[in-house]
Amino acid sequence: MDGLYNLFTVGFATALTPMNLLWALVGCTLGTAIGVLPGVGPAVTVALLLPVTQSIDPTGALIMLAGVYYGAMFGGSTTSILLNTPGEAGSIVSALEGNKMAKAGRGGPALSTAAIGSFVAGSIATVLLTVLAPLIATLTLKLGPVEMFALMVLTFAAVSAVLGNSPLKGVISLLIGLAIGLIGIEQQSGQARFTFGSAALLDGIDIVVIAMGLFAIGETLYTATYENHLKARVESLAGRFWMSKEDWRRSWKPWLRGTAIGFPFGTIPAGGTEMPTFLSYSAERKLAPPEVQKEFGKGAIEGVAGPEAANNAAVTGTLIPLLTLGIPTSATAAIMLAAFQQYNIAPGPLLFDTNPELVWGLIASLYIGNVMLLILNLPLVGLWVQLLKVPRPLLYGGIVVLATMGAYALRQNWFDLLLLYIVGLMGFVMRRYDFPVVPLIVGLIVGPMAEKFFRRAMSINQGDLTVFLTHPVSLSLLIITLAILIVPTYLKRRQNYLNKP
Amino acid sequence: MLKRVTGEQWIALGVILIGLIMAWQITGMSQSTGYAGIGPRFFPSVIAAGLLLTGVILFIQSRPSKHPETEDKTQDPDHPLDYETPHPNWRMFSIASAALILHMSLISTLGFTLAGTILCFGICLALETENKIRDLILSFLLVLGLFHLFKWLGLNLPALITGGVI
Amino acid sequence: MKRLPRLIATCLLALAPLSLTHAEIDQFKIMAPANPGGGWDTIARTLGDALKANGQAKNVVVENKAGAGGTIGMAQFINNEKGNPNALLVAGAITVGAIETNKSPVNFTMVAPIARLMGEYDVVVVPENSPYKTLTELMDAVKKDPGSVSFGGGSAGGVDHIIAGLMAEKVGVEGAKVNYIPFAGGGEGKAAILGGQVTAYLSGYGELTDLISAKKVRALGISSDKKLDGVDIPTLKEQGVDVVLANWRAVFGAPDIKDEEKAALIKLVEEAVKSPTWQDKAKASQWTDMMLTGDDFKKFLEEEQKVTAETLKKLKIGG
Repeated sequence: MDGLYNLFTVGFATALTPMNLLWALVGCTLGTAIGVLPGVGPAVTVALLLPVTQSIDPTGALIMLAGVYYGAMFGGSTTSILLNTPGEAGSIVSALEGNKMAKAGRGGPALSTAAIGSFVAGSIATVLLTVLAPLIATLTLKLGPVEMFALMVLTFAAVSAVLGNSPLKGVISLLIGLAIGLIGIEQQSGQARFTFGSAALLDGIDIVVIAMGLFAIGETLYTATYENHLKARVESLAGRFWMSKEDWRRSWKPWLRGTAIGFPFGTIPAGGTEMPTFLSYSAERKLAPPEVQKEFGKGAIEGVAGPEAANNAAVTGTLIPLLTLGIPTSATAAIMLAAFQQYNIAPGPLLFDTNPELVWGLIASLYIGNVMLLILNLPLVGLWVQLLKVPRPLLYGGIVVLATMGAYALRQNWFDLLLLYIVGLMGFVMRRYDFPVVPLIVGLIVGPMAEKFFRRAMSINQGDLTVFLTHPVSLSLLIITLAILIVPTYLKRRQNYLNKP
Repeated sequence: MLKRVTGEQWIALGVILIGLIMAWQITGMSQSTGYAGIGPRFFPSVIAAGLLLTGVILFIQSRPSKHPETEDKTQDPDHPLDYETPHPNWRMFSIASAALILHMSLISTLGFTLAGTILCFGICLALETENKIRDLILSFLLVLGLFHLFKWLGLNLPALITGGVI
Repeated sequence: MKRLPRLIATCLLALAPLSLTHAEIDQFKIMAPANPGGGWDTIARTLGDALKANGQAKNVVVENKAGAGGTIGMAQFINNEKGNPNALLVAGAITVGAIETNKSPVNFTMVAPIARLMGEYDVVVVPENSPYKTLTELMDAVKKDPGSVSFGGGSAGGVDHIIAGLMAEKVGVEGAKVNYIPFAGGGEGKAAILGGQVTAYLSGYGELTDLISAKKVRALGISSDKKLDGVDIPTLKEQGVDVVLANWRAVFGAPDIKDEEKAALIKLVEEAVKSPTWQDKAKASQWTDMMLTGDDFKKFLEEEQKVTAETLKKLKIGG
């Protein structure tokens, strides 16, 4: 409770000056505006706006950056939902259901549930951060490669929920994702694999290029080839902007579940923000009542609400190891660290003692940034949705330009554009023959991590496989995995058995 | 007598091919396992084997049968029939592809703005735009705007004139 | 109501540095072969700011092209800037290793060495509750059973790995026998040492200062030649493990520039690092000044390439 006391006496007193409120507003606005550009994720947005903060005092600057951070996160989901161009790994899942909703004229509710979900998750996570930061930080440090690998196994088990109609096609999609994930330098041995002598492949293929290719380019090619005659479909887009009572009823649980999944992931070193979005998505899909389950794949609001909350909770979670231990667990946290250093402040165990105003000011500003973002963006939802009224050829032209820019801007290599096109062709074929895309993305994200942690665990323990069973956390995770795989089949059999006359 | 190869069987062949390419690449990898007991070959081998296996199964499963497939089509009353059995328009596919390929080959010489305009306009053509001149102008303005936004941010995209306007 | 105009004015002022980039065509180019926000990018942008603040250049363009330990950006620099006297490439110790391990088609003979700017020495740390109190105890354990002592650090074949390998060699253990666990990015590695997942951890001093001063980890040695000012950590060398190596960063000129253009670039960089812009940043980020220019730098670079190549061969990296 010490945290709460400090928050109100020091934190809000610092953050709630008109000047600092203004910085929060400027930050949120700039963050949203720039975060909308694909390929320019939250990390790059913060990095690019760092120079702007140089002329402001430290507290004001950090408050502004927190706003930029949140704004960029939200901006990323906007393009993902409306245009099917997920510009960063964390918002890929939002595109799955979100874009289907947008196409069905429910872009407004999709954006609203994303914004409010982010707000709810961000606020809850910030409260947890305020109260529990040091405790959580010490706990998560105990999670080593052994536990992480067990967590990956659990994630793979959850894939079974999203394999689609044909399990065979789902597995092929997963294997292709895993295969693409292998490209590049293998961390443990420093050896290049499947690079075919090309230097551009040494760092592997960027997830953003894959996501943009599969979604944006693949869809454009598909539309051009097969759906030009279906022009009428665009007109139904006006729709309602605001969430209906039904939408609220269906959103609040996914928000909370998403938060519960995302926050711990953020605090784990190397947990990342993509994995929880995916876990949340499969959880929502599994937990949904049968009539909602049918909606998945066609625009279920749960599939946007959950992952968006998970994503934002994870982002706030990453601040715990950053502030308490000086450990950046995500690219954006690393940039925030750089921002701290600009003011000669070293985050870490001593920060809470040496710079209390700053830390508590920052934490208070997280609350303010959250509120600010909601105030700023909810009215904008209506405006964003108007984007879909752009004539269809131009809309797709714009989407493709944004996608190519996202793939090109940071590395400036035409090779990435070629990859984008090839992946686009793949997406085209997958869509034509009804191969699910999610397993591919999961394989691509989780595969390399699983291999890395497995090899690391084995290396540290010198090849002793029993460690996965002797470490209690790992053992419990594996038991949960087994339960996920076995229980549903058992229940189904029992049901069948009981139903028999 | 020629057997007809279905689209799905072509995919199956592609999957098998990827598996084979992987297997071939794996032979060139170091075998050293260090202290881990498994080396950099282990995971790729498992995945390659999986691809070969699933590829073969898919090939066998999707042999053209005499009965028209009935399982999937009845499931989806929401979709109109022509959505399920699409008529491809390969001319539009080629226009879209050409736009993407032109863009990647011209971006470093023509600069981001002009290459991007070609791309955006090409996609408009592929989607059967009805107002070509409007779309051309708007394509140019959109890409020009993006170019300057990135420039303002300190990220420099290739330009036609050094340090220039487009 | 006097406050409102002031608010707006401050706001505009804050945005002013960004709009400056619009100015002249006459411009200086710095290639940072990394993503915005990384170490090389920071050097490039700080140097650029210093050049502008000093009035040495009207407009500085920083180009980011990440990938493959900087060799991708390097390749583009070599292709595009041939003969351009107003362009610099940022590179460092990491690039030396990356050229070697990736069998890169480009290398340092294709660019003009201008100046080594700054760098960081590595420290070897163990968790505070570790049984190893001194470097000697740690190295004795390595001698007895190298597999049981895991060393965490940066990417395989990077500076940290090379130091760990050299340390083992100095106590008579084959470099390839070191149980080295590479971590991408500092965060994961720091967490691993704090959580006791690895026995010891190597990283740049700046990255570990806060953990050392908070007594979360114990520093056993530093890879500098002599003790550093104000840093109470014994060197590896004085403890009988003779390894001196730094993770340095430097700038290079374009291929085919004339000797007088090279000299002009050296002068330009020397002046820029004296500016308060650079000095403030250096202090804030705890960079160690390692200024070395011209032929001295060239000689250092050749030596560094030799040592790196030999060690990587011993570590069996990139084979």
